[in-house]
Amino acid sequence: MLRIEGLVAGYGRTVVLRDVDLQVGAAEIVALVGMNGAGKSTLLKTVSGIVRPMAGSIVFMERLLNGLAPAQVVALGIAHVPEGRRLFGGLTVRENLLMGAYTRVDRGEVRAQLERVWSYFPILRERQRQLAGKLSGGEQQMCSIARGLMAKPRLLMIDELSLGLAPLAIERLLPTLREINRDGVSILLLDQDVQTALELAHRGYVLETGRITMEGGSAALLGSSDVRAKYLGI
Amino acid sequence: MGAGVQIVINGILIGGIYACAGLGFSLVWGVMNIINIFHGATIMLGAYITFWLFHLYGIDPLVTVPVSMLTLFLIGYAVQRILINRILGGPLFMAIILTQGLTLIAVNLAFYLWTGDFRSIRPPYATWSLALGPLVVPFLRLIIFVASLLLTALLVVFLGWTKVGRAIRATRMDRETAALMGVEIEKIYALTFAIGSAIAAGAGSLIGTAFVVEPGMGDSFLLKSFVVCVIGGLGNMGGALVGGLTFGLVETIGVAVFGPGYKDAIAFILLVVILLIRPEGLFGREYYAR
Ligand SMILES: Nc1ncnc2c1ncn2[C@@H]1O[C@H](COP(=O)(O)OP(=O)(O)OP(=O)(O)O)[C@@H](O)[C@H]1O
Ligand SMILES: [Mg+2]
Repeated sequence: MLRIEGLVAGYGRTVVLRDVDLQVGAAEIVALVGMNGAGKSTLLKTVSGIVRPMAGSIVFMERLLNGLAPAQVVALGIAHVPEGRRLFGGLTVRENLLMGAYTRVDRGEVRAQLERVWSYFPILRERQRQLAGKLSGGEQQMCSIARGLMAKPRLLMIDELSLGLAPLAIERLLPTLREINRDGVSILLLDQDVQTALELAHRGYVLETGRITMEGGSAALLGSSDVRAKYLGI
Repeated sequence: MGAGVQIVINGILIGGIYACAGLGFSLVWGVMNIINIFHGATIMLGAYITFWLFHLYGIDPLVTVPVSMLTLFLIGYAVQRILINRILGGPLFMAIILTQGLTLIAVNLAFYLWTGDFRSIRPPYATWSLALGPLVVPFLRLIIFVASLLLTALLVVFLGWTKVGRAIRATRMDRETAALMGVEIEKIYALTFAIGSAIAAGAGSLIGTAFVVEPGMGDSFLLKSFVVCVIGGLGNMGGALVGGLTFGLVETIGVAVFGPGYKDAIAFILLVVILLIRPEGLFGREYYAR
């Protein structure tokens, strides 16, 4: 569904991603893991159209995304849950969710999607009139994911799912993410917590200083001595 | 006692206009991080539109408000799209220089076309007033006060209750994330600037009925808008209202105490005092929160 080939991208003259190949299939959960500064966020920003690719191709459902603006990418069905949640703190939870549906014009459709998102995260319905900036860390991550889902995406890209969250908050999120995935949304998951990411995902990629150095099934990656040594400290 | 109450009434009435004048300036500064010097000239152009429509065709000044708003909306949209867009993301002073340049052009053009004569807009009801015992409320001042509040309310409703208004607020809080949601930032900026210009022009039309209309009239209103923003906080419409009313009161009381010669000095003094005590504005902080 998403096919990235030979991608080179960066900021100004700094090249961050060098020749990256990565794929996400329909209804798949794929983890992309790597150390600080490996270029994970840059990859997502390039897919979203915030960063322009220098070379290579990004194809989503047979459409070339290179050079598209973020608005067009969202409209095609890719939602980006940014690193650090990035909620609009001065807007209410409900307003944040509606911002997620900004490219959707059909009001009935937006309303239906709101109901669906609330069924995934009932707590957000209770908090809908509260300012998003006043939510707890776990609720903020829920709200940020929910905001992404409001775009009715086929692919949900989550940057740093577990960062700054208590283990319990992460545990609560995982079943919901599986449910969202079962309902037909592919997920590309970035995390520094390799264990969590690979437990949730079907497949994974390891990104090191802008290159994919390993890929494979989650179980295989978790079992690999290289991953265990570098990322799990075992 | 009666004189004191009268001063307060005058202060509040004038404060409503200041609030309205400061509104667009605050919106543009808060959302786009641009200090729009052209704001003063926009007020002046709005006032002239009303003056000419009234003078040449006898159209009631209040009826001309939408005309001057629409005209400056279009001009504002074009100015943002064609000029200001190019310097966004550059240093803050670039925008100041650019909008100052536009101001020089507009003011000199106004001198050239319409001369520097002082004009006034006097509709038939300009001399009416309501008497409440010893207190006098000039009818026209009351009308423009109410109209100013209506304009403010219109903007608050627009920003608070419409999809585009929500996008403007989201863009103010976090531009990159708003873009991720599919908001086309350049369009939102152009629209914000156009709306700011329209409100300023509407304020200008109202101001024209209470003050002298001349090419340089924008300067003092630019300063006043600045003060209103500093009191009320940036991009915060309720704050602009409180800022305007506070400023109107302080100025009117100051003039009553120290004499009319100090009118513009009071604005400066208030500005300096507030910047010293609360640099984020009296009501500002909350609205920068992520
Ligand atoms: N806006 C930017 N301008 C210039 N360089 C940037 C920018 N954003 C990131 N970089 C650089 O690009 C490299 C990759 O950053 P990126 O944010 O993609 O890493 P990451 O894998 O997401 O790291 P983390 O795990 O810390 O989130 C880093 O060296 C970083 O300094
Ligand atoms: Mg990152």
